Amino acid sequence: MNVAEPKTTVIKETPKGTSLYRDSWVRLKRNKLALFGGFLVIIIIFLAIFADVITVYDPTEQLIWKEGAKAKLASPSWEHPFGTDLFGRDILTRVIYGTRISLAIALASTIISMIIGVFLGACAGYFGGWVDSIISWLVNVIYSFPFLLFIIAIVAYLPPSMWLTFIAIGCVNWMRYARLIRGQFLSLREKEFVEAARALGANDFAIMFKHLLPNALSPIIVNATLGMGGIIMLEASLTFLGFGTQPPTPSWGNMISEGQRWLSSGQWWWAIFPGIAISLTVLGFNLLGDGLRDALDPRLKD
Amino acid sequence: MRKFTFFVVCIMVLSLTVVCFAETPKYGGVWKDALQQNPPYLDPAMATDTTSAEIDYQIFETLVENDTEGDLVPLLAESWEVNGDATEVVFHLRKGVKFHAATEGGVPTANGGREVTAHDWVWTFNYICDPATNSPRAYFVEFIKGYQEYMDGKVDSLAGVSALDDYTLKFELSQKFAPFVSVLAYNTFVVLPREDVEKWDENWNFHPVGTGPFTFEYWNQDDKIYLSKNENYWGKDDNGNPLPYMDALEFRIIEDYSVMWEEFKVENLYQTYVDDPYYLEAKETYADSFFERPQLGTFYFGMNMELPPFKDNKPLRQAMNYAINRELLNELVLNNRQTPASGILPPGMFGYNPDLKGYNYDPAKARELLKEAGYPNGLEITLQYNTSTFNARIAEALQAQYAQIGIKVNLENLEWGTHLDTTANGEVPFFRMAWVCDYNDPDNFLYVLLHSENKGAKGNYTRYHNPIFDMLTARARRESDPNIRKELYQEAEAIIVDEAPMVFIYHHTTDSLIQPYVQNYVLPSFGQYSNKFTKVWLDI
Repeated sequence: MNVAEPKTTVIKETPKGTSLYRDSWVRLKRNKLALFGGFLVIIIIFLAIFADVITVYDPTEQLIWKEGAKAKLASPSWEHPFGTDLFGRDILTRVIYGTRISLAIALASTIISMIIGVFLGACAGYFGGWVDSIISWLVNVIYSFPFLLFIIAIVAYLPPSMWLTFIAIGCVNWMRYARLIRGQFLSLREKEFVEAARALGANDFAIMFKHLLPNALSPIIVNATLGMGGIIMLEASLTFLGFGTQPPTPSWGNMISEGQRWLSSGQWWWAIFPGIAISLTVLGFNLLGDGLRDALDPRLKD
Repeated sequence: MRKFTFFVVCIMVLSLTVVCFAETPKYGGVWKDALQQNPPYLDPAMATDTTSAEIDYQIFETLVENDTEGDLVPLLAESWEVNGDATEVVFHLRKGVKFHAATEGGVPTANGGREVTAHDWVWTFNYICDPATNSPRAYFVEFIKGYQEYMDGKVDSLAGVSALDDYTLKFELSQKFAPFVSVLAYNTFVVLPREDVEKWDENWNFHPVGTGPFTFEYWNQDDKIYLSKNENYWGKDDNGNPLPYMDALEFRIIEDYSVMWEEFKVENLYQTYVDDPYYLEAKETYADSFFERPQLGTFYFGMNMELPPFKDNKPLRQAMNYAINRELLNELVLNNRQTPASGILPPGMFGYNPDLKGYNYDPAKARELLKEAGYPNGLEITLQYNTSTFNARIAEALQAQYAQIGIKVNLENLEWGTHLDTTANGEVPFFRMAWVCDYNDPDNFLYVLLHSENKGAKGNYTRYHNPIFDMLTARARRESDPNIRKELYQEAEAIIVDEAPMVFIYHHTTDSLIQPYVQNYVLPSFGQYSNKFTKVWLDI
């Protein structure tokens, strides 16, 4: 009798454990638009970091004092691909340096608002009760102010400076993060792993920031990325209105603010190029943010 | 031959009639204009700036006024006499001048539209010089007899102003003061209706009532000021028709010159200031209705003499003056529209010294002086200016020039009212300021801007103090011999230039662009702001 060797049931090798982030990366790579957005963002970051290496001119150097009228409002040429402004400053150089200001403000104020928002939102969502009531009330109150006006009101009372601008933006922008985190925590705090952690003796702080927060992180990342574009626009608007960054710091808002006066007299390059720079930056962050949202959403798994 | 002559005469008469016909003023219409900032005050006793004056000139009236050439002519006074030693002035007042009877949408005023008499003038001068009113310009008339006692609260009325009868007003001066009558053309010395001033009390600033060709309607802060025609105005045109021609004046507050320009092009404004980007286009497109003329004014950066780093540091202040290239600034940044300044007195003013040795552009010397001043490695200061693209442009250009010699200038812009207040309070070390003539006399520049008695809101924003300078300018006020006055003023100005409490930048040119159908509009030599709309009309 032939004895057949008992067939070993071939257990299909379990797929290698993949994390949420690895999955998301795979999905993100398939999204052409998101990649394009990411590409734009990388270029902008690159320009911001290496601004002084890749530019020929000093962003604040006024060439008219040396070269006279020919450097004033010169139209785009080989020498000045984006032309020059009234003071003979090279607009390409200033647009490139402008990425620094925009990114610095966007990054700094996002971090400030994330810290405030995440902390308050986490407390509200985790503790509930009167803590939640007070924080939610605060969020609603601040949300009800007209955003730009509220910032202008803050900035108008303080001496205008770049640092104050992004602190002001950060202080007004945290509510979106607080709301998000609160919502996430409300549903997560009832989960078994929280009970397990508590049973093991973890304190509130550890549960909130070690166990709950990592699970609530993806919407924050998406929101922060999408918010970057908004803040860059906001900084430009504030500066355009005369608050925010002060001359001679090359900021896009500043350039558009003065440059737009010269649009109708034919010197379009002063305002148009920084305008394009803002559009591309905001577009980059928005496309990347959209892509991240789709990629990080487990329900959209194919 | 006779027939031919007759024919020629006929044609001439005919053409004359046509011309006359074309020039018959038309009544009606709303004058649409713009102010670059909200006026800090409408109360003439408090107004010290051109924006406030531009509105006040339409609502209120002075005894005498400067005509468009800057010459003194009667307004509410018909004539005046000055006695031999110039210590008494008697004004014969115009009859039939009435206060506004209605204001703010037809509401009757407290005075009821009664006639102005010499007693009103006496009350008004007592009100302006009252220490409780705290008018920053009352001191313009400090030589009225009894001014000091009244200011100090020792007596309860101003001794030197009296009504001889209803239409005769007499001023007695405590000492000779050469520019006295010219000072009375300043926009603070207008006649006020006592009833309305007392009725509104602390809100008087927001409910002005005067005798001018236009009455106050409303003032939406930062938005619009609206005035309407005074139906009882005393003025008549050459044909005996009542003035003014316009039904109303509308002044919108438009901060942005580019908006003004766009609004002008679509005829939403009849008059505008032309910012540099549109200067050449305006000159070309509106060749016949774009006016420019030199204005008696000086644009400067003030250096506070009581605050570091400028306090007791003459080399630093001189370095600030040597570091900038005024000619190139004017040529490249300002479209060659202004006149580079070497001192404080503008060309065209009595006492102007064409040979005054000012500061040329000399960066090497500036660096040397900076070393001497104790800043071999440069320093960092903040320039405060009032928000305006025009000021920002100059500030940005000079910021770059200062950077060349190692002075880092930070820029800070504030709203006009706040800028003026903080500067007057002496809180600002380095600030933009400009002074245009209130009355055509060097006294208005040298004494007002730099005499130590006038520190602060009175005009001495740099808080300059020099006893010799004080003595020279005080003496010149009392002197009546023009040659001696001229010498005194030139000597005083030389001291100022040497001590440099300011960075002298340029002397103004005033300009105004109007729609081609605006008639009877003459740009005054005192500046566009001092225009009166009594006789302006629209040919549309």
